Amino acid sequence: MDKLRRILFWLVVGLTALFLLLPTLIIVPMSFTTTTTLEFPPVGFTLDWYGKVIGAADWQSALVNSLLVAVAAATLATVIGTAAALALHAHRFRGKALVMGLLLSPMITPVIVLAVGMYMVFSGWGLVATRLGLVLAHTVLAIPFVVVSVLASAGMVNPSLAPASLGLGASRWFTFRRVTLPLIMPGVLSGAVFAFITSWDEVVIALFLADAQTRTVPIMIWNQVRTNLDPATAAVAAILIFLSALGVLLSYKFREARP
Amino acid sequence: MTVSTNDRGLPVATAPRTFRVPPAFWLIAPAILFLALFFVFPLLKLVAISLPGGSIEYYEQIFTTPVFLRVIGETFRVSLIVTVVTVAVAYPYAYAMAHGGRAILLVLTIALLIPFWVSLLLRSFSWIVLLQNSGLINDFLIATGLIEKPVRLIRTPFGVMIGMVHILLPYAVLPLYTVMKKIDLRLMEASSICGASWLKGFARIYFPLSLPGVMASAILAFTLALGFYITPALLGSPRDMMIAQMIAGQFNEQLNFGLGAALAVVLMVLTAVAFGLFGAVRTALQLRGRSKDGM
Amino acid sequence: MNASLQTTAGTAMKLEGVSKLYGPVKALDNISFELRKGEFLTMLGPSGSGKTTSLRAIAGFIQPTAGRLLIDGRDMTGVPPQKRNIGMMFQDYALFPHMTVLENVAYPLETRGIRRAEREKRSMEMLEIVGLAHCAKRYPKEMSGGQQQRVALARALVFKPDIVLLDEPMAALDKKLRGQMQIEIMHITRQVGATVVSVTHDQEEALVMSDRIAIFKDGCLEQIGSPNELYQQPCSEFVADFIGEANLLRGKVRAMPDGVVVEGNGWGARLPAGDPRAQAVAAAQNVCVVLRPERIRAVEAGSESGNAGEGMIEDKIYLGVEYRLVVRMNDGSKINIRSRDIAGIAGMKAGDRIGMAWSPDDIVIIGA
Repeated sequence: MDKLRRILFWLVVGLTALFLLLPTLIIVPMSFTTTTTLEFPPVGFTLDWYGKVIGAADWQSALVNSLLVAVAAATLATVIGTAAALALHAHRFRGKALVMGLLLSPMITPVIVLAVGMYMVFSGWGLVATRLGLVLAHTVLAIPFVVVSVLASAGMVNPSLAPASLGLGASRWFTFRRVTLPLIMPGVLSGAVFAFITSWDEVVIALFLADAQTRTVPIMIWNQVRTNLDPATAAVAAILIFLSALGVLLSYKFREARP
Repeated sequence: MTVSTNDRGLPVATAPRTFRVPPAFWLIAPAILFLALFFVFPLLKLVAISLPGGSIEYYEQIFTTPVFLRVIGETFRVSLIVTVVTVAVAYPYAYAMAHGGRAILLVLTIALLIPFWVSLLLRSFSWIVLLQNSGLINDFLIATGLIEKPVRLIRTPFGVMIGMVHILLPYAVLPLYTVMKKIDLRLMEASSICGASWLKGFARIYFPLSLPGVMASAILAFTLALGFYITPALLGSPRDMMIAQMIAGQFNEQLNFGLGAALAVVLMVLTAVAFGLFGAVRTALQLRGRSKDGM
Repeated sequence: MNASLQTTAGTAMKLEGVSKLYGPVKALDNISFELRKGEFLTMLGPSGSGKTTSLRAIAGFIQPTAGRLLIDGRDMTGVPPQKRNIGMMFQDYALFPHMTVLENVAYPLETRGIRRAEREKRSMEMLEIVGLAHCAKRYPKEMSGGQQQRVALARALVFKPDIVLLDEPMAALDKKLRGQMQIEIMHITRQVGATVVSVTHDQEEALVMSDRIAIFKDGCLEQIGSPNELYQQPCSEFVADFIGEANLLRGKVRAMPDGVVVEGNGWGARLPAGDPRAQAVAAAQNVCVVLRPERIRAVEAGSESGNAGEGMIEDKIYLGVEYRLVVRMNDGSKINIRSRDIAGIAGMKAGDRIGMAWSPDDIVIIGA
């Protein structure tokens, strides 16, 4: 009875883990298939699909767009979000809970609602079909991730360090640069990686704000998946997964850098 | 103004602090300004568009037209089922993470985070491949002899739910894990030495203590599920449309911005209500166990 | 006090060669002892000595690798904790945080299918005994450490278990409360006639509360006996050192016409020929002499011989009712003396030579 329960439990947990991993695991092998349809297990081995993707002009321009937008949005979100997180961490003020709610609410607002709202507003401001428009929109989505990440690492810092530094005669700016910032740096950097990936993977808002010139990689994938499913999509997916993995490794490196 | 002495013993004036703007303001002002402009304003704009000249005609249209009501109902139904399934699957998984030891925790965390880091679009794409007629799932079912010819899985509500559960699972596991990690397993030992079977102890001790986690995880899953767009668009059929797709349709195809905006506002309100309602339940549960007799 | 619940003769529990292996590590090595009904037994030892493992094996949380455990004559092999009818008070009490004090205490009755009215009545009676009837509706979080402990005790006793286990009962309390709770727990368990097995690493606690003490070391049961037996006749240096304060002097055995002498540098211990220990000691070469600090008299250097020694005072500490002297022996080892001879010692000072004397009855010889 006891044993049966245990076996059943681990079986369920194992199957859940498999369920979680399966979709990710099958993508990469499928990109090597020699067939023109997506097959799993793949048939033969070829790198043609990668060549086809890397050689195509529209994929190249999408890649450039994606990178530019993601880097800009990550930078902007990291600066704005880190400042806000520091204020929330170190100070008490009226309406703090409200501000916190505002900063985090892009996380739970349905993206489709944001997308159509931004579309209506940005079209009036001439921001539709521009990279700037995408950057601003993705920054909104990314700010909560930075705030959460920085707050988490600021929470682990000894709260008496900054006052100690001030007490020793250091200026506020000096204290921030030499004491606070180095201590929260792991949180800032992993927040930046989160922000980058948020933008890098975003498709719904991009569908509304981008045109043929400014479209990003996720839009290309969306169009592919909706029209013809071929192994080239799997090749793109494999490249994106590789980049995400790199990002994750980086963010963990940052976290390990300082305890 | 206060007066103190410097190191040469001379009196010096210290600047009064009362008129300084608190530093928190300058740190937080950019974030508030940015979100006000690019987040709050677009949402308010939608509200304005949905109420042309103060008229509520679009809302009347939504709540009197069967098509819209059916889509809203369908969104609720799918979100509810998906939430229940997700939390049920997440529960044992989170339990294993919380109490299975370091090695298990590491393996399960990796299994959880890998899909978390792979975009939702790619995962939906992957499910299309897995669920299609010549896909791995059908191949497997045929090989085991459970079915004879491929079953249609893609473009069905079932396909949508599989994809949604997969995407929501990490969100559901993490709050559960956070709560379960804090539950002392010795309480279950105490329960068993008190004479309770495992099931009795689970029902009376462990499950009630994990309830805040269940609630938090359900809130998150349900709230996110209501707004799903990509997964139903790729894995579902137009007949099983969810509200997000309908909103997109009003903007992309019907070009009826007023109605689309009204639908978006409805989704926004539903999400806020769901979040608020579950939040209230969670607060109530957390309050339980604290002082009741006014100590 | 209920006379019918008072101790009756008989064995409550028996361990027969119980061993527990974790891979190659022997957490328990062939443990055997008996627990009498109504007895308060304490398992005492340093951390990692096997006392907690023994307790968990008795509770049924772990299964012994070898050996048998009998409770009331029944073999407990394969019997899960919930079927053992054992009460247990956990180290940090393991009270159910979402239940009131009353619900906590009533839980063992609830699992036994007793009606609500009946179990609340019995739980209230138990809370009455531990003096917490007025807190029945409170939650554990709202109570002090000492109160929580009494709730845990009530929960462990309410269903009149065959045996009650106490896991480091005082560990979570501050020092001041400990002394008080030791007495209180002892009284309550006696009052309800419970058979108790307690685990602790605190020798004072063991001495205060127990009828018998089982001393554990490295997974083995070193010695079991009443506090007095362990104090008077420790079977090993470890036990001597663990129970009370002990000076351990290592010396060589020399046979004399009128008995046996154990000698070291600057001291000697003599057993007369008629002493039953003398024969055993004579057969050994190197032995250890145990001398309790309060059994050593401080005398003038060189004034006594036979059972006497000599050294230099290193520290003299006045503690009100007694003096504590630390004496450095010729070989560099140190001896503690506790003496109430305030007047005799007042004149001595650190650096002085001092003589020590003791009666042959007060020495214990180990290693013979």
